[in-house]
Order: sequence, then C-alpha cells, then structure tokens
Amino acid sequence: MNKKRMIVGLLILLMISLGVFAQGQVDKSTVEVKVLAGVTGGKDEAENKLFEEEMEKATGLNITWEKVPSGYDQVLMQKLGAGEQYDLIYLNQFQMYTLAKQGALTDLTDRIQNSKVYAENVDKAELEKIGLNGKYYAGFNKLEVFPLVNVNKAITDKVGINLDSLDTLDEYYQMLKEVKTYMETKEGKKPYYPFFTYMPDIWDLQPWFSSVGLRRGVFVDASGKKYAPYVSTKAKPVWEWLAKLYKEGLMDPASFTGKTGDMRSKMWQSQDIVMDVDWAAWTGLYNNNARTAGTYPAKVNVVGLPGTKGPDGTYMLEQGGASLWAIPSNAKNPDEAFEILEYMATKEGGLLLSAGIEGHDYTMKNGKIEYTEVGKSHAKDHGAPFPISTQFDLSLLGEMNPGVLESVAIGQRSDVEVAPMGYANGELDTRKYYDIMSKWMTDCIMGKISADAAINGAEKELRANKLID
Amino acid sequence: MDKQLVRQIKKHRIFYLLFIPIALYFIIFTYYPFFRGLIMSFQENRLIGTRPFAGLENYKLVLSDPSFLSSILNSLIIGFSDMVLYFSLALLFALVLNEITQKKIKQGIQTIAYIPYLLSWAVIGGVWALIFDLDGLVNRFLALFGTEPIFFLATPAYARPLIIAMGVWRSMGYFALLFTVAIMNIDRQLFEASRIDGASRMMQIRKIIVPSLLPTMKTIIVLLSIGVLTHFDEIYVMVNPANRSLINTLLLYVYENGILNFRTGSASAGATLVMIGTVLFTALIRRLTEYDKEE
Amino acid sequence: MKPRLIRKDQLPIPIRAFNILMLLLVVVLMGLPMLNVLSVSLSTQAKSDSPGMVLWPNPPTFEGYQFIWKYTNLATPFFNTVYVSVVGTVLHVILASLAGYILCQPNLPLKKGMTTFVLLTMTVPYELTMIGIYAVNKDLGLINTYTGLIVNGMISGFSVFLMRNYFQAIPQSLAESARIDGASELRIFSAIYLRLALSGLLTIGTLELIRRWNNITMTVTLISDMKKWTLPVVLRFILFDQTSTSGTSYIFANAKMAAVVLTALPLIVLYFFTQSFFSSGIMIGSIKE
Repeated sequence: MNKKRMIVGLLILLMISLGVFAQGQVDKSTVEVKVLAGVTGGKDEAENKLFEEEMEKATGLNITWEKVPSGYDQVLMQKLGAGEQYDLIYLNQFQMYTLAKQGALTDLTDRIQNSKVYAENVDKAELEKIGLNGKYYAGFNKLEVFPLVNVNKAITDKVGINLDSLDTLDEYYQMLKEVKTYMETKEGKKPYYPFFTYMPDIWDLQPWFSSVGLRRGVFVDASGKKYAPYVSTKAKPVWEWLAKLYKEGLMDPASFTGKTGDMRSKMWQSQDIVMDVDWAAWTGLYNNNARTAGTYPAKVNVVGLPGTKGPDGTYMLEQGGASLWAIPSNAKNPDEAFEILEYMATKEGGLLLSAGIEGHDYTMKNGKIEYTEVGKSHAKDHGAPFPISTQFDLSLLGEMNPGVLESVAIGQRSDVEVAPMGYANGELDTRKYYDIMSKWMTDCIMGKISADAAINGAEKELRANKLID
Repeated sequence: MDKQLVRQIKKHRIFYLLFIPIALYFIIFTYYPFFRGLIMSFQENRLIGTRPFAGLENYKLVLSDPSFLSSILNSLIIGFSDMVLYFSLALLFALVLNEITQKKIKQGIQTIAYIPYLLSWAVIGGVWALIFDLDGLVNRFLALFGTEPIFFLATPAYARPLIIAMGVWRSMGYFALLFTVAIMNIDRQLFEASRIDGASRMMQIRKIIVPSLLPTMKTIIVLLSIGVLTHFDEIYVMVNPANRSLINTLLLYVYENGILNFRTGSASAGATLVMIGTVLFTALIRRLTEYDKEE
Repeated sequence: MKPRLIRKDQLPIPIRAFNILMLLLVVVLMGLPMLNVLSVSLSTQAKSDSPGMVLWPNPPTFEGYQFIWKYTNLATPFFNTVYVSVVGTVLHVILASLAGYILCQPNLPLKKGMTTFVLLTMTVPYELTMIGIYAVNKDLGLINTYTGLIVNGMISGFSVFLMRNYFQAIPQSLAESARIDGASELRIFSAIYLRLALSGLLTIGTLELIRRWNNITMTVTLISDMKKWTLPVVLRFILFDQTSTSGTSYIFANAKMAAVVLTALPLIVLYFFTQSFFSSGIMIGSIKE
C-alpha cells in the first residue's frame, strides 16, 4: 500500500541517517597514542599529517595528532565531558589548575622528577611556576615570554626623547605628553592618543604596577590569607597615574572597547599610538610587518622597554600563563604520552615546534637553516616560537625579526624579575578577577570615581566573591 | 467518552505513525542530551570520570552569585525589549514594504534589510564599534549639530540600548520576511471584493491584511518568547569593562563562569535555570495568545 | 490576472511619507555596514587596516581577494558547505513540513501534548546539551562525518511551527473534500498542502539553508578534520585565530573582509532570487478554479 510504503520510507530515511553510519573502531595492533592539540601542530591538514609522522619518527610511537583549530576550549570540554579518551591534551595554566583539582589529570610529579630529559632541558625555575602544592600535573609546550612596554622609537626620535632615561611613571607621562604635543602640532594628527592599553583583562598593566612593586592576581600570604596587591593602598599612585593619562588625552579611549588587533594595527600600521604593552615576540612582529609594508625603520621602529623601576630597583614583568600538556586521568597510554611530552622538551622537539618540519618548512645547508616559502609563511611557529629547552639556541632559527631578541633579552637582565601572575595557589577564578578589576579600574580611569573609591570598591567586590579573604 | 477518544486516535493513527520518526529525532538529539545535562547539574563539577552527586549544591552556588542575579535582570530587560521591537518593527516594515508596487525595488530593499542576518556577529560587532566610535559615523553626524562626541561604547546609559538596537538591526529583516510571506498568502479575491465595495487602501490594511496576519503574529510571538532569555552573541562581541555589569546576560554568565572554567555542574545548573525561565515564559505567552486554539 | 490590484495612490499622504522615510532609513542603516565591509574588502592593505570607517575604496583593488585566494583553499570548504547545507536543508524541509502538517490537524487527540513536546525542544539552551550532543554523535559514529552535520538539525521546532502556521492558512474544506473523494492523508499532504504552501516551504528552506551555511557551533563540535571544514569555520579561523599571541603571518583587514564577502555572497544572490517566489504567495484562488 502506498501509505505504508511512505511511512516505512520515512523511517528508513531516519534510521539510515542515524544508524548505518555508526562505524566501529578498528583495533590497531600497536598502541595508538591520542593527542588533542590546540595551536601546536601542522598549519593545515596535510602539514599536520607530516607533523604527526615527524613525531612518530622521533618517538617510535603510533600517534594520532588531532588538532582542533577553532574553538579549542569548548571542544576540549565537550570531548572530555563526553568520555572521549585522550593520552595527552593541550591546555593553559588556569585550565590545568582547574582540571587538576577536579582530579581529572594524572599526577606527573614522579615522572618529571625522574626524567632525564627534563633534568637536562628544563629550567627548575620554570617548573616551579606550574606547580600545585608541590606537585606537577603538566609538562611544557613552550617557553613563555612576557609582555613589556613597546615604544615606536621612530616617533620618539623625531620628538627628541631619550628612551633609556624612562624609569618612573612621571617620566613616561612626560614622554607621552611630548609626543602628543608634537603629533598634534607638527604632524596635524588631532586628537592623538599616544598610549593604548588593553583593559578587559587588565592584561598589560604590570610594567606600571612595577613602580610600586606589586603584581597582578591573587596571592596567599604566610598565614594562608588570600590578597590582591593591585587593590592595596600602595597601588593608588598607579591607578591615579592611569586616570591622569586618560584625562589628559594620553590614553586611547579605544583601550576600553577595542580589541588587541586594533591596538596592534594602530601601532605599526597607522602609527596612531606610540606606546603599548605587548608580548616580546610582537616587538619583532611589529617591525617585521612594517618592513613588509616598507615603513621600517623610518616610520616604525619598535623597541622593547622594561617599564618602571620598583622601590627595590627591579623591574617587574609578568610571564604569560603557561601553555601546557597534561595526561588526563582516563588516558590509556600515560607512559607513551609522557614520552611525547619529553620529546617536546628536547632541543629537537623544540625545533619541530618552532621552525616546523625539515624538508617541508625548512632545509639545512651547512648547519644553517633555510626556510622554504611554506616555512616563511609559518613564521617559525608551529606551537612554540620559543622552545622550552635550555639547550635550544634561538640562533638555530636563523635571522629573527628585528628587535625581538633585544626584547627577550630584557627578561634575562639581573634587575628584571619575570614571574607569573598570582593564581592563589591555583584557586583563582581568573575570569571573575579580570571582570571585577577591569570594571573598577575603568571607572577610575574614566574619572567616574576617585582612585580611593575604586580601590575600595574593587576590594569589597573581590571579597564578596570570595576571591580574597 | 473514552471510547470516542480511542476511536479518534484510531482514525488519526497515520499521523501518530508519521510522528514517530520526528519524535525519535528529538528524543535522540535533544531530549537525551538535555537529560544528560540535567543530571550533570545535580553533580559535582568534574570533566572526567564519574561525577558524584551534589544535590542542589550547584543551584545554590549559582543562585547566590551576585553576578548571576544581576544577569537575570539584564537578560529580562534586553530580551523583552528585543522581543517587543523585533515583533513590532518587523510587522511595520513588512506592511510598509508591501505598499511598494515596483517589484525590483521591493526585492532590493528586502534583500538589504536581510543582509545583516547573513553576517556573523563578529563582523557586525566590528562594524558597530566603528559606527559608534568616538570619531565614528554617529558622532560625526551629531557634530553637524554641534554636539560633543559621545563615547557610546563605554557610557553606561547607552550600553543596553545599543545591544538592543543591534539585535533589532540584525533580526528585523528576518522576521519581516515571515510576515511578508504571510501577507503574500492572503487570498487576493478578498482585496478585489473590498475594492468593489469601495474600501480605501487603509481600510484594506486594517480590515484584511492585519486580521489575516493574526495567526502568523501568534506564531512569531511564541517563537520570539523562546529567545527572550538566551541572548548571547551580540553581548559577547560588545562587552567591555565599562558596560559589562549592565549587559552581562544569563548565557554569557553560563559560558564564562561555567563552560570556560570547566565547571560542568554550575554551567548545567545555570543553563537549566535559563530553560525553566524560558519554559514558564513561553507557556504564559502560549496561553495569552491562545496559540493552541483552532482557527 | 495581474497582481497589481493594490493602487498605491489610495494611501493618505502622511502615511506615504512615513513609509518612504522608514524604507530610506532601513536602506541606509542596513546598507551602510554592508557597504563598509565591501569597501574594506576592495581597499589596499594599508588603507583597509587604518582606523576609521571606509565607505568607498580609494583606490579600489582586488588585492584582498587575491590574497585570501592564495592564502587558503576556499574551494573545498565551499563545496563541503554546499553539500552539507543543501542535503541538510532538503531533509529538514521534508521533516519539518510533515511535522507541521501533523500539528495542524484539527481534532487530533493529544495534539497539545505533541505541540509541547516539539516546543520544549526549542527552549533547551545549547550550553546545557553541548556535552550530551557530542556524546550522542560519538556513540552514533557521527564525529568527523558530513552525515553528522546533516543529521544534526534535521528538523527544528522553529520550522515546524512556521509550517504549521502556513498550513493553517489553507482552508480545511480542501482537505475535507479530498478525504471524501478517498484521497489518503499523505496524498492530501503532498498534493494539496505542500503545493499550496510552496512559499512557506521556500521560506523555511531559505532560512534553514542560511542557518546551515553559517553554522559554526555544530561544525566545531563535530568536525576536527580540517579537510572537512566548512566556509564559516574557515572564516572564523581567518578572522580570529590567526592573531594568536605569538603572531603568525598577518592577515590584513581587506583580506578578512574579502573572506566575509565571499562567504555571504552566494546567500545574498540566492536570497534575492528566491524573493520573487515569496512574493507569488499561495495561489489559493487559482487552485480553487
């Protein structure tokens, strides 16, 4: 009957779409190590395959390198939450703390402490920074750099400013003021806002809070009390300084609403700002981009500066949150996963994660690296622009972008202290902290409330949300 | 009585049979994931492994969070304003558009009105930021009247209106299309008859078009009511430290505090509360509009 | 019978003035941003990346389009998107109209319950089901398959209720007389309802096609294999993920906007042409004769 046939047809339609495509996993004879990666790996499907093979060659394992190129955090949550099993996953420091406390990650303390590779390649101080109550739940993807003050020297030279003499908040203020006057009167760029700082995550304020010797985040004192340095009374001069910058038109209003991309294009593309705080790698990228556009070094010549000197004579910079690899607690092959983790910490692994695949991204000629067209477009970055291995010499990568090595070197100076933000022993809800802080700082900087009131309000709200005691 | 019901059901059995694949789809792809989420909302935050039950702990936690509570108010204000404006402006636009007799012009305008819906929120957010920037188009326009530039994007007073306007701007053409199609479906003989009776165009709009649109209006209102508490994307692209406390909505809260923090329990609890609110509101609208009444 | 039954001049002047004003406003407000996107895409690299709003490319250039064409392979994602969108939409329209037909039956016992059953599915936030949806698809082996992209969203409450609405506009007397003539329900459905609600079918078809074309959430959830990427995912990748902290090759705004235009263009063209169908409406009158 016609009627029945159509119903059956519809049912079949649905069944086919649902059922038939359920293919069973074929068991491989050898152990398959499953890696879930974010940015680390090949830039496209084909290259990712090569990357996987390179990794297999180096470790002798059978690896599936699954790279999630978009919406990684969400996909990671979905996959793990749905019971998908991976041997190695990529995550950031905050995620590592969260998952470790949920008991979702394998304790790697013993493995790391007994690892010869880690002993030879990884700086103890770096390892210290990712510990949680004396334990380690992850290994490194790369060496984290830090944001520092980036200034377009091409402009300050024209104005006649000596950048080496900048050490205090006031000196920076004077510099910005002079640049503003110059640009508005001599170059006719009016209004000119010389300084951009990305406010939503109060990401880039560390070089200024350095002047009062305070760090971002929440710390735990000896008595176990959680406190946030930025909302202490000592921090007030910095809040007031920022408010003054805004009031006098020295800070770009887009700081509150714009994106990092806006800031960067203003820096090197239109030169609408003279100063921002950005990653050390970006000192080089600004100049490299400008070089492509033909404006380096005449119009754009960005140099890195350590910021303001603290009461004890040191410059405090903030190290970026670590990008890490962890072994989930439900991993089938933790031993093999750790081998991969170790390989990434070696010099050779570092080269793979930065320069890329030999024969595809680069070739070696007389011990010198020569990039292919593909390699050039991948900008020496396959997940780790700065490899973690202490054995890795950056000169291996050939010529670097102009200015970047100088910026990175600032972090090695004896009077510069690079440390991560305070995670309150892995307890801090960073998102909440950023939201509360950026809200009160914005109100203060825009002149809606006094610095005292803002610091007070922020402190109260942090406490109400149990972020501090 | 019972017998009659059984007879009715028997008479209609073909419809139930046809409904099976549809129900099956929804059970597999909506209800099952929903129940998983619901269960998770009563369990501890844990991404991997078995999740111990935590009773109402997640709900307590979420409901005692001041930013969740403030996001309820924000969601209601933004969602309700959007619902009213989507509906009324789309209807008005469809009626106005219907008065154009040149087909190509009509098609052109309708396409332009629909274009915002084709762009991703990220692109829209970027364009809006340009328009409402300190030296953006709006301020340049206002400068013609000697007004000082207004920092729209960071002034609290404009935070919600801007978000609401963005929603309207993107969705008006979309809902107007639904009305337009319904207007086109009106039996043309009705117009002819009324013309013979000497009715003016205004009369025709009032007596023929608007009444014929009633069922469509009901449908659209019910569909809109479902979206009231679930605004997310436009907020996500426009939020900044100066306006966050005024436009932080429920789902933004769930996303940022729950999902990005891998808090499976709190995220599910927050989302379940959003759903409960939506179900109640939709049920109310469904009753008020007599959605289930036969025509 | 010419469709020009409506004589424009019958509207009072103030209302006509209001109409024109509103239409102008809509055209300006909605057209402006599109013009901006288009102009940026046609600008030079330097111009496109400088602050401020560009409303006219000066000088116009196809640099951005050339760059994006060389930068990434758009053809494969394009065909992926076409395949997934078209097949998915056809299935969607069939199932949604069927469900709409069922739910518009007069005197159908349990109808209210069935309506609620469908309506409820629309109230579930994605945030609540995202893990469950992944799990279902994993269990059914739909991860990294086109089938997965097609099956998810094969029917939606939204389309069901729109179809129900369009079907309700069809006089029940038509179905009654067909039933008396001995036509089966499926025949009534296909021969009367589907034919008369053609514009409704086209509407939900167009809306669904657009939804699928632009769908990112489901694609990101199901597809990690880059070969199977669809256009919107590539677009998002181009727009955002490239400006990572380490910074890889820089994509200028003109190239980004070129990608936006290329993604949206097929839909705009499609939408423009389907409108002539929308405006034809249900031809109840002609069917009756």
